[in-house]
Amino acid sequence: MKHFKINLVICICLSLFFFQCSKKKENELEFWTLQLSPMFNEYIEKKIKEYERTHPGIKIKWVDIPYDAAIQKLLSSAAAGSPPDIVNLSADYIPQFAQMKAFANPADYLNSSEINKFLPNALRAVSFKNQLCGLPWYLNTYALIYNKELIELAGFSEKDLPKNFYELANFVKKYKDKTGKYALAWTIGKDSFLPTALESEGMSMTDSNLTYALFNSPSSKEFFMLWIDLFKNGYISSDMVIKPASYMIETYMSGQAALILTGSVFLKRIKDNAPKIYEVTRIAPNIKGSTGKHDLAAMSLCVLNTCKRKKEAFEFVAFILSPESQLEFCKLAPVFPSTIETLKDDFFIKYDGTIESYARILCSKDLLSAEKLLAVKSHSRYFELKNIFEEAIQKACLKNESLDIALDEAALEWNKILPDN
Amino acid sequence: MRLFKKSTKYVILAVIFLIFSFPFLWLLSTSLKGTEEVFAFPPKLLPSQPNVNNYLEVWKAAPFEKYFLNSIIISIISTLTNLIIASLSGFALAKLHFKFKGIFFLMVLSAMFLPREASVIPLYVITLNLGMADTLLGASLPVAVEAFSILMMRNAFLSIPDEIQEAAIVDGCGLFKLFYKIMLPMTFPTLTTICIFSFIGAWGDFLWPIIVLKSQENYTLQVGLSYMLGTFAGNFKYVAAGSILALIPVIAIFIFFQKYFEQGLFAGIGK
Amino acid sequence: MKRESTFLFFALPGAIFIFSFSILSIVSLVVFSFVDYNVFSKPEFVGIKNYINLLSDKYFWACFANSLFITIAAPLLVILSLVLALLFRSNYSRNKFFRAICFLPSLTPVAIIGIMWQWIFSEDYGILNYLLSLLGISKVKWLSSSPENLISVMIATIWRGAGYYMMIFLAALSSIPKELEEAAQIDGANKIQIALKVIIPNIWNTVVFVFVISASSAIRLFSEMYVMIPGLPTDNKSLVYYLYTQSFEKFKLGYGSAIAFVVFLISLIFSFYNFKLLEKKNNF
Repeated sequence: MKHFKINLVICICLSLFFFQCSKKKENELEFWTLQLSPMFNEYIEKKIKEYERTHPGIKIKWVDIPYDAAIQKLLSSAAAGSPPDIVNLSADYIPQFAQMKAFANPADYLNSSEINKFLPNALRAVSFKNQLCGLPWYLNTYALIYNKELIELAGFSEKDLPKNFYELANFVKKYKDKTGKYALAWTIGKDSFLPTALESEGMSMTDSNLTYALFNSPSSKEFFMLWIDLFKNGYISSDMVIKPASYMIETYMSGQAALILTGSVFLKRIKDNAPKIYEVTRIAPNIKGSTGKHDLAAMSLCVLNTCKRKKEAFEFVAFILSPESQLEFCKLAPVFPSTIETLKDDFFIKYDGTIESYARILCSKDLLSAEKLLAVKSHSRYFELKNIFEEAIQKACLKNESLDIALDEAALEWNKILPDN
Repeated sequence: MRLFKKSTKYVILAVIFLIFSFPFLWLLSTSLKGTEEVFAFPPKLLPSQPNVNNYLEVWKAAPFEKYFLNSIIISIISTLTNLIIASLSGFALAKLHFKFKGIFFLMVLSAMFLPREASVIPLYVITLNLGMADTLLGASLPVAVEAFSILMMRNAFLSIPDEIQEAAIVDGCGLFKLFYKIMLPMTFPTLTTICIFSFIGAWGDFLWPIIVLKSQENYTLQVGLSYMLGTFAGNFKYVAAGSILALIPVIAIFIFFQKYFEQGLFAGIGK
Repeated sequence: MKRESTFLFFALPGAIFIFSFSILSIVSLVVFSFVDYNVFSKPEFVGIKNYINLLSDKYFWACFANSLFITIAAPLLVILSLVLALLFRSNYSRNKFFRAICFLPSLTPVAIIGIMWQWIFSEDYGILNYLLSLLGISKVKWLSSSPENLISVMIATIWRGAGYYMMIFLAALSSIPKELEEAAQIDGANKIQIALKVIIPNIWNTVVFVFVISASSAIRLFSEMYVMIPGLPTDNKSLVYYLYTQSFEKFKLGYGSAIAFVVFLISLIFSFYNFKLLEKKNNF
């Protein structure tokens, strides 16, 4: 009898032990955002409260993650058996997780009327191999910000502003010839914009499957050569070759550049730090290249496949992404919504005399022609690839190496790394 | 001639001593240096002003107390589990007769053929499904039981003559009492050996903890130190101090339980 | 009281542990190698795709070759540990001290071994390169170029294992009947001749045994390399390190299982050979 009891106790303990014990409560959804705290604390908390009110029995646990740690944290949490349910990801991060079939397809849980509320290019940005991986949240795109005074001093007017990158190169040349000053604050050697410019002009850095490099094709080389020549002939500063992107706006604010290509969100910074420049600052449509496309930065909300209550999770996502919610959000921060209806709101259409609203109107129109470019950003070793390419450009500029050879060598390196994804 | 022979012998001994002790001493020396001296080139053999600064700062450079505690907890859990399971199973295999004894023995033997490196993936998935991923329990239990320990205990029990068992039963002793009060104490040396090797093995375990532990608060010393090494080069003085601290229990056990080491290997590997 | 159920109580805990964590592991390993599995989605059966990819995976073969190269450490280890055992056989206190010194690295946690040796092999701050520079040899890239990084890992492994295998040889040496050696001594053989002609043939089984386990251990090398040389290019890694990155950095657990199965087979061949050897000696 004594032995039987002991045996029973042991069996019970062991079986409890070996039963799957979930760490998370069944009715809780964990929701991760990228660096929205503390600025959007009120907004997010309000939304969560509203959702919980209309969905009794579901609790949303909100966790805000710093941008750099996002991928690592997502992987570790999944590896530790406790991944979040809903995660706010940059569209650039989607492909590597999509390859692991990490995401639930919104189309399976929401009806098509919900999905058609979004801009088609935004939906494309959050898709992988034609499957939706999440739904787009807030978007951003670039614009051409210019110093009207400096432009006019050089004898140009708004209609002379470049519409593609070849025209940009030309403009830079003519400007310097006329004024002896640098027209453009851009980057070609570090945080280089050349790859996206290349893609805007219809060429590609790699093939669509990310298996080999294409940036050393003759036409691409020609394109890059334009800029190397501009540097060698003194039309663009060495800053453009060695400084990271952050220098662009500083240079513009000190009146040392007539043009920059950057997000309209920077207008506020110019206003705060260089009011005199701000007064003569104007904004023009982003340079689109021959394809008419320019880069789109998209943030998304994705539901992971490991989520146990996908229907409720997608309802939350749809709620945050509803046109009304997005309008509210975009009034709090200088970003753009992904829902078609929101863009039709007066906020994005009516000009109220300020340059901000002009920028907003312009960019929201431009949004329609923006596409997520540069698929190679999703490669797990993207930073290595980026460095290799940028070093080749820098070598050609600063060390007098032949661009041809530098790019061919870089392509060889890329071809070694690309398959290791 | 003899002098030559003798001096070569001493030279060889000195070389051997140096080879095996130098890395420890060098690490110790580094841990007592200040930043400039650590990265001085040419490297200085001894710190000019040895100080224990690094030993104090390492506790701030990373959650070192947590690492230490985690290592202790995991080592204790592993060791206890191994001891209990090995003695129970060893006893069963040596002294008891039951239906599945043959199968059990075969299982234990087969388990010895599975190297840790190959089993980590399935172990990881099992641990994940048991909800133990990224926990101290998950870092200790799946790898606690060594088939070899079971065999050692089996051998130890086998060497106890059956007469003792028979005499105890005649005296009216129950099975558990037999096991606990009579048989087990007779295997004390083997138990101690298993205890020591189990503890040191768990203390120094690396492959499994680095896979199963994901949050910094759960790291063991070994995992924590290896991540500290990776973060930035300037950290090395802390890593050196931390490593010496992590070595102290091992060295202490080694000194105090000297004889069990020679015994343990003799008993285990076979002559 | 002598019910079988009670006996099961003794055997059951061990059986559960061994079954869940060892037997189940072997079986799962094989099963997983036929699926695609990562932490985010359910496993997907893919047949032998993983193995086919393995065959054409140049990184796999490169890492396999690296691990084979590291196995060169095995014979070196055998020789070194045997020499140490021969040197420190007798039970003088000096020998006991040396045995302890030589054995200590074997007890040292692998991560700390990696830390110690990374510091010694450091290209810019390491004492080894400094000593070499005194001999006129320019900086060796111990940690960043191949095959130097394999050699540095080998050295760390040999240093670590020598004491352990020395202990095994000491046990074997103690079983040689004294008369054999004494007879040879009387015949006028010197120490080295005795060692080669009398001792080694008598412990030959142990020599082979140590060779096999050290080779098996070398081909599965991971931790030293992971700690000493993080951030290696993929084709410079060891086989198990490649397994680790595929499984736990890329989360291709299915593919990793296929690699792990190969590691298992290799290890099985080694262990089985040794098992037969032990069986012969001990009548298991």
